[in-house]
Formats: sequence, structure tokens, C-alpha cells
Amino acid sequence: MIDPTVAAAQRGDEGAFAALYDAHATPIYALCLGLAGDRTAAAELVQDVFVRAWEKLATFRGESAFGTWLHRLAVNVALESVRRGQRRSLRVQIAADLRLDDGKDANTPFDAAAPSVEPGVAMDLERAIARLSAGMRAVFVLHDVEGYQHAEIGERLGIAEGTSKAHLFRARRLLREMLS
Amino acid sequence: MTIDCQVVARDLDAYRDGTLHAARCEELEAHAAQCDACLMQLERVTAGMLPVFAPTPPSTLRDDVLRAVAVRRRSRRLPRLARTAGALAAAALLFVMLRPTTAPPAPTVADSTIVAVPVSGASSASADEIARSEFRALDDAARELQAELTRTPGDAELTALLRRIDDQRASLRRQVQDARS
Repeated sequence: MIDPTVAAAQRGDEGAFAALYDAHATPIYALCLGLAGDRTAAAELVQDVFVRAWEKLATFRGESAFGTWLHRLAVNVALESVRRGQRRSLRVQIAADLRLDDGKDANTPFDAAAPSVEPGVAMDLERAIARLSAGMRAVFVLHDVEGYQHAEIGERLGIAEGTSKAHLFRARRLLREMLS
Repeated sequence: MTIDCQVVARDLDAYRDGTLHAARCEELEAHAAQCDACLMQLERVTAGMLPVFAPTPPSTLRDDVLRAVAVRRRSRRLPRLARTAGALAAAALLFVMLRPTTAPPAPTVADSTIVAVPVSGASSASADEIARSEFRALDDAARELQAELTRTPGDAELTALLRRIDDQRASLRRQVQDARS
């Protein structure tokens, strides 16, 4: 059974679609901001997600909750965009992160493009996440924000399940350090 | 270098407190990634240490998103409406070609309320049918455009298409009147 608001949006009711935005915008924005690491890019991603959702709304058959369907779509759109926006793919990035894990270079587990932060000043979580490398950010957001399991994260990012686990703990540790 | 579960157990508190050396932290994480028991231990001691990530979307984002959706919807509909207008132009030409050469006087004809009139020539009935069909299609297209214009008032493309349809309607009306005069 399809939710009446979703059904109305499927019939082209703009008010119903706006209601769907209102209900889901915050977690979708968190996902996009987490993966993109930048507010402007995140806002563009949210637009892309909802435009794509509108285009594909007719294909939603109510087999899952609408929120689940929308989040799946959002993850696809966001990962696709993040990949497009990077010269190196996430997989390569993650491989580079792994080499860092071997201790060859302990100075760059962070995104070089992220805004610098004054030493000694505690960051908020948003800025701290933005400072993570794209690979670690993706694992952290998919697991801790979106609730994905490591097996699926590995599949989505093209990495081993163990790599996803190691990245998650490392990301959490770095975030704790930045926030403290 | 690999470490075993005992080392992990010993270092867990230091890991949680942030006092463990970074290199040892990474060894511990790498081990936990391959060892479910240690993974659970690590999850247990680090659970809830980070705040929930729930940023608030910018206040302008809602309007931006809904506008982007409206633009997308319109961009999909406009080509179809434009094609309709183009097809009507072609139909108008066909009407001219089919109109009777010696038409009798005809009553005033108004848009889709056009009425069939007795005309001489085999093609006159077809011409009437085409004219009626064209007026109906023009009215339908105009209604769709008006509805779209209500959603996006002042849209230049829509206004131009509406004007084009009005022109088509006027041209068709002239042709019908010419054919019957």
C-alpha cells in the first residue's frame, strides 16, 4: 500500500511532493553533506536527489518504505556525483588510505581540499567530517549515518569488507581527535 | 605487524581514552577488522563517543529544490507542446491544400465550434474535419500551456508558445473563412 502523500505526488501533486521534501530533507541533506564534505556541493546534491526522485516517482511501487527508497536513490546519486567530481575514484582513494594505514605517510588521512582549521580550536562534527579523506568519509557516512552494513559498503565502494571496518574505526578515531 | 586479541584487550582503555599511539591504534583497528570478537569490543568501548550528525539544511534549499523540480518537469513538457505547435503548422498547410476550390458562402466559423457546411468538391468534408481537429488540438495545447503558466507565472518560453498557438489559431480561422468566401 502506497502512502497517500506519495501517491498524490505520483499523480503530479506539487504540494504532496513538497510535503515529501519536508519529511525527508534533513536526513538526505546529512547524507549529501557527509559524502560531499561541502555545503554548496551538498545543496546541489540534494537538488539532484529530489529531481531524480521526481523523475522516478512512478517506479516506486511501495515494496519498501518511501524513505528507504529515497535514501537508496540518494546514496546512488551522491556516490555517483562524488565519483564524477574526483579525478581519482573512491576505490583508488581508499587504496591510498590503506597505504597510509601501512604507515608510509601518516600526514594525509585528510582531504587536502578541506578548509584549514586553526590549531587548538575544536571543530564541529560537520567540519571534522569534511576534513576526512573522501574514502573514509564515505565509509563513515554510509555506516554511521545511513546504517549500511560493512558488506554492502564494501560492495558499493568496491572495497573489502575488512577495509570498510578498518576505515570506519579510523574515521571515528580521527573525528574524536578533531573534536576534542 | 599483526597483534593478537590479548594486546587488543590490554590496549582498549587507552584506545578509548585517546592515549594510545596512532600507529598502535591503526594496528588495533586492522586487527579488529579481521576479528569479530575484537570488533565487538572496539564497538563497545567507542559507542556513543561521537555526536549525532544531523546538520540542518539551509533555509533556501526547499525553494531551490522545488524550483529545480518544476524546471525539470517543464523541460520535459515543453518539447511535447512545441512539437504540438509544429504539428499544427503542418496540419494547417494540409488544410490549405485540401480546401475546396469553389466554396459556397459559409457562416462565421469560431475555433473548435466550427460547423460543417455544404461545400462542393470531394475534399471539402476532409478540410472541415481537419480544421475542427486543428482547433481542438490548439485549444488543448493552449489549456496545457495555461496550466503550466499558472505554476510558473511570467515564463517567457511558455508565453512565446502560447502566442504561437494564438497566431496559428488566427491563421487557421482566416484560411477557413477564405475557403468559404
